[in-house]
Amino acid sequence: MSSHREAPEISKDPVADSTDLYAFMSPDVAGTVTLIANYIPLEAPDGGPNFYEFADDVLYTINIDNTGDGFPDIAYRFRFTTVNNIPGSFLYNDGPITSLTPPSPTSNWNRQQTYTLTRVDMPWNRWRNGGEIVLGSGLLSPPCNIGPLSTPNYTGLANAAVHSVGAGPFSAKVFAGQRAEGFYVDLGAVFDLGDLRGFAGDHAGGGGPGLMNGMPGVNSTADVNVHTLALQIPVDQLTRSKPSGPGDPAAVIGVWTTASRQRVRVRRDGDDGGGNFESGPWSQVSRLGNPLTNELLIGIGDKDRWNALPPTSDGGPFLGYFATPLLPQLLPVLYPNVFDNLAAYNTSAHNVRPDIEAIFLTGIPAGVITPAPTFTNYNGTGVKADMLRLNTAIPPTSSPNNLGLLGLDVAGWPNGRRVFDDVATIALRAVAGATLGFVASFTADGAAGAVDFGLTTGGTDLSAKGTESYLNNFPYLGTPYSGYSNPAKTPVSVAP
Amino acid sequence: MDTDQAGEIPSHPASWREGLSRRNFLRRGTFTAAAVAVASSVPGISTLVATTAADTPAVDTGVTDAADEAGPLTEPLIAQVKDAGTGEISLFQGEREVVVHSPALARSLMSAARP
Repeated sequence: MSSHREAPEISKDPVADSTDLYAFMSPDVAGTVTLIANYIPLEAPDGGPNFYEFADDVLYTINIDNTGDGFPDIAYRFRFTTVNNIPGSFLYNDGPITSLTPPSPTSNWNRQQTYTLTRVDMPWNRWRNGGEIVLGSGLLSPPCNIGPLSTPNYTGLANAAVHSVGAGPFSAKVFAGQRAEGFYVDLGAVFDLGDLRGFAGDHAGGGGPGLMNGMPGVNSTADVNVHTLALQIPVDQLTRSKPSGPGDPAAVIGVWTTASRQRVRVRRDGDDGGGNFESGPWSQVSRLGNPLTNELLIGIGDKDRWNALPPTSDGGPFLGYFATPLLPQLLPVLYPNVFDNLAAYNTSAHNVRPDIEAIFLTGIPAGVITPAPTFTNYNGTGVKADMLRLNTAIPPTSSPNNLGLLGLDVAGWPNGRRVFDDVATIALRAVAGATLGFVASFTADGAAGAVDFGLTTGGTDLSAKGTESYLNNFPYLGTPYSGYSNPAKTPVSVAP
Repeated sequence: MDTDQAGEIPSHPASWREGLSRRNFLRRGTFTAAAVAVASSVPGISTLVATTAADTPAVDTGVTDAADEAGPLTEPLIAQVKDAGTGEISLFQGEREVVVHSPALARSLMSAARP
């Protein structure tokens, strides 16, 4: 998956497990950037009575590098506070939740969260002169989508949880709460030795009984929910200066999200009230920039460490995973006689992958993508650090392609990432060699431009199964599936 | 005794500029110049170290006395003896970590923890 349960340790700590990160120029609000960080993978919509929620003891952060040096210049921090309005009740709610109101003992809503959003301008961010400022506190999160009797107007509750905040020179639109999962991939195929259903007949294992080429994919992340941190921020509050145009490195921001826990946790015994207390500085336990980095590139023995280190470490101890990734080595073995050019490149003397390094670590310099020669999201420094890089001077396109840059849509991944981008297919084609010819003497195999997960009908199909509930405005991810609709798996927007 | 602090981003912009590289800041948040003041601001830490530095055997009494002198313990204080030989001890309280180097304190804590 993009980054769901991608490392051994974080897979045991879902509230701190970042699943997807998005960064794009808002299509409906000119001059703003939307940043979305999702946490808590694979939420079953009916997973009560203790429905999913952010953790009070986790520091959630969205980081922005606007100088291309791999270090954060700006950070948006979320801290949550959870209350039991009705501590004597075992239920999430004792009646219908019809409005979003501050925590109160008279509320029907038992388990309720509020949060504080802080913008931190790092000490070395000379443009902002350092410091931190609370943009909003006591901000209300919506409840989980329980069902038509408990949350009868879920859309209204969610809309009320979109807050406009600001302090000093800074402002933002913010949302923190449950949303429908927007990412799509065929996990069953990926992890069964890469047995892509559409190409099963070509697999070395024969695909399995009854499997043949042309079978549709299965969206493993359909019909589940996530918890979303979403921000919409004026672009001039994120870039280091006003860029002169798309070719100006000042237009490029690098984004990644982190979750941190305090260094020490002590469990209280029952006589001492139970629960835990935490102490000490914050220690990073989860990191996510580009989709699939820790999932598909980093070796399992290094995944936990990767999650705990900053992006600048990618140019050091982890560089080999980007320069000579394992997956391109496996593809010719799994699909004999399909990736012959890739197989030959893999065994050549110069078999490193500068295209993968550019996509994930530095951004892509101008002139590299020959069909779109002016495109760039290069960081301007060459510093290697895994970040989601967005050229903020490239406007959103009115006719998007879910293959992003591979579909010659320069407003999609790996230039930032939109909610509908088919990042699994883009990444698969890239590692299969589709992008290698831009930076090395290499002719891609025909299959490199054809492999996919069989979840869309083509580049202009923005409605892969289970993702039909994208919104056209903030926070863009759809209304979460309701518990009552499960296992009918019907979006609440269709059957409230 | 040496002290060192690891922590989060300081709230006051004037406290970070001098002598800091961003790499060091991210890795550890080490502030040598501010360390003594920070250590003494943690209730009980500095007094506890002073008490045990003389190899005072009654650690329990020392802790109690330290708390009395420094005011109430508003947040739990957790000590981790990392190296008994060098006396490297991490003290965690709130969002701070103070590292002290005191073989005498390490010996006292280990003695007190002995079953």
